Amino acid sequence: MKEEKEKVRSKAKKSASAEGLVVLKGVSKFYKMGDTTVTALDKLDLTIKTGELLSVMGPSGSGKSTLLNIIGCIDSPNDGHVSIGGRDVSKLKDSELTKIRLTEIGFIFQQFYLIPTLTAYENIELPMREARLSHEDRLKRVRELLSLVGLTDREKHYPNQLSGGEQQRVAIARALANKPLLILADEPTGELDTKTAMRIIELLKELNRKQGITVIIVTHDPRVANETNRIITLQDGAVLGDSPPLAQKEGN
Amino acid sequence: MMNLKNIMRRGGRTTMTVIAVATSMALLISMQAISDGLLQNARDTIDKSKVDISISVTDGHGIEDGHTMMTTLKTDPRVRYAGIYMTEYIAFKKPGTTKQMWAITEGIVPSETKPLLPPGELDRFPKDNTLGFKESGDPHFVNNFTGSWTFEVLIDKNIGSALGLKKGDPILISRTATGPYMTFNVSGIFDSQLTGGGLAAKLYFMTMHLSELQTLTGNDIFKDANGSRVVDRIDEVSLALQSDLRTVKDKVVAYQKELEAKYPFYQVDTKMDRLVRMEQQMTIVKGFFLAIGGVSLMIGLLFVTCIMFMSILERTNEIGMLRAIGISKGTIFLQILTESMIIVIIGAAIGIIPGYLGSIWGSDYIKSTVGTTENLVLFHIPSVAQLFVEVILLGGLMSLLPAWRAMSIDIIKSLKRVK
Repeated sequence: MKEEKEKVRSKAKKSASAEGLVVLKGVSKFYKMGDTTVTALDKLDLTIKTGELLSVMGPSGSGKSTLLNIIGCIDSPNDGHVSIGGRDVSKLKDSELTKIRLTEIGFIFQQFYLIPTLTAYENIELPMREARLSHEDRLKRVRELLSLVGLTDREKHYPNQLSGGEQQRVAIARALANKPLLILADEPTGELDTKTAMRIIELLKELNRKQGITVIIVTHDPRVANETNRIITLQDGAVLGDSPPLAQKEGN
Repeated sequence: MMNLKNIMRRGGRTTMTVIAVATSMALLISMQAISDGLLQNARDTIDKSKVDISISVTDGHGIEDGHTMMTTLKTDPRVRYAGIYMTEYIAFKKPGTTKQMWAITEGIVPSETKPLLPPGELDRFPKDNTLGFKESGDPHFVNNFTGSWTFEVLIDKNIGSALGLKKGDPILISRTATGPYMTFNVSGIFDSQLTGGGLAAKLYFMTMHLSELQTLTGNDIFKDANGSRVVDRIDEVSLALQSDLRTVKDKVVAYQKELEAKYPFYQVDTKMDRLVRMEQQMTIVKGFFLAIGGVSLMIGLLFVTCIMFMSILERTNEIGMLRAIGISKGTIFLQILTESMIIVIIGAAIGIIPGYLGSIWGSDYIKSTVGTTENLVLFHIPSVAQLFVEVILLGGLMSLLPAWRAMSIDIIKSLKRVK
């Protein structure tokens, strides 16, 4: 585990600028809806350092998902600059962004989005196949990840044979497949009961703590946000608050 | 593996699509087998023919002085056999009955026609005398159609069974529907290519001495107010060349040119010319058959395209997720293309078996319906292989659009899309 942590950190160090792993400067995003223009992000500045565990909160339409999409390189800003691992991704080609998503970013979705026809093993293996890892390397890595998320005995199970919590664990393992610097989780506990949700958050915390992976969680749930080290609150596309959770403040 | 699993995920729909492609492929193969068979049959007929050069006219008025022309050409040392003939529609009936029927009647000079018939054709005629005629020559032609009549006629099996006639029976024959009828004698019964029953059971053929048919139909002597003259009109002169000449294409063509110069108003064709003309005609027939199969195939392949579009629509979230986690556009494109191609390949491969069975059934059906005894269907493995490859390529082409659509999916919209 220590070795894994070192690998991730050295990868991040190599690529991240001195300012942070993710740096957004004056990022604006707006959408045209008929004659009106909706501003999703308004000249937003944000820096996220390597190894941070943070949550993004805010009411619906505050720009949380847009922020996550831009950091995740599946959307681009209309204005401003986005840097991931020290590289300005604002103007990269689609193929370059795809490669960044494959190797440097891990996505976790609210609806898990596992391929129903593939087993847990095959779902986790999918990004590794795309990254052209050898069969032996894939086998070793999938087994490691299944062990990490506690699903060693579920590798041959199909998604419909797994509980919601187990499916999300498979999704987390898939997000970790190519050893990303950053994990983006969009409402990862939205479809889970409280007990399972907290287990998932614990798993993400453990990944952050033990492997040094930067984790950004978009959530509506204050209990989830309170488990992170930093809470970014958005409103109308701008940062309304950026502080440690209440529990930490009180502890301090 | 993932492609196969995705296809199996929609088992019922996939099965229907495979059946659609297989049915189209089967129909296409059957159509191809029939058109290939017809072409091969026609080629074989020309190949087996002993006629190296034919002289005919295209305006329908016939060649004049037919007997003289045949006699002249026979004296050419390059000519081995020369035959002349004409074809007319002739009315006939059984004595004592009123039911009048019509037969396609060929006038020949038996002794000259016999050597020109290939073995298969010869077998259809009676073995006695010359093709069944007691008079081997054309006695009525003597002295400009003043020679004696033989009143010999060969009838085909269909006439024999329709009227209950046999060798030696009298038969009434006329050039017009209203008569007058002349009494001929059935000198033999022959087997035409269309005496296998079915529709051909209503097709009747007769053969008689050329000069008698000419006189019956007014093609012997032309008469008007100014008097009369012998026209001796025929349809075609057939020549079999000497064996050392007929196999050398250049020599045959040189002789053809010579004949064209000698008979500028007639059309002189070599075997090759007849083959080319026949192939041109058969190309139209083949085009028609393949168009039927092609339309069916396009429907089958459109089925695949539609199914793939439906599949993409259902898997929008999944494809969006794959793009989000870094799966490239190329991989998505290939995945959809492969899934589509698997369906096309399986369907096309399955379609070969019913296609083969269909061509056999088609052959039997045509034989029984038309009544021909000829084999009209050719199941040619290289043609089927070529068709298979063409269908797969076409299937690939039809799959490009859904694959492109999947590749171009908007990640954010597709992830937001509610199933």
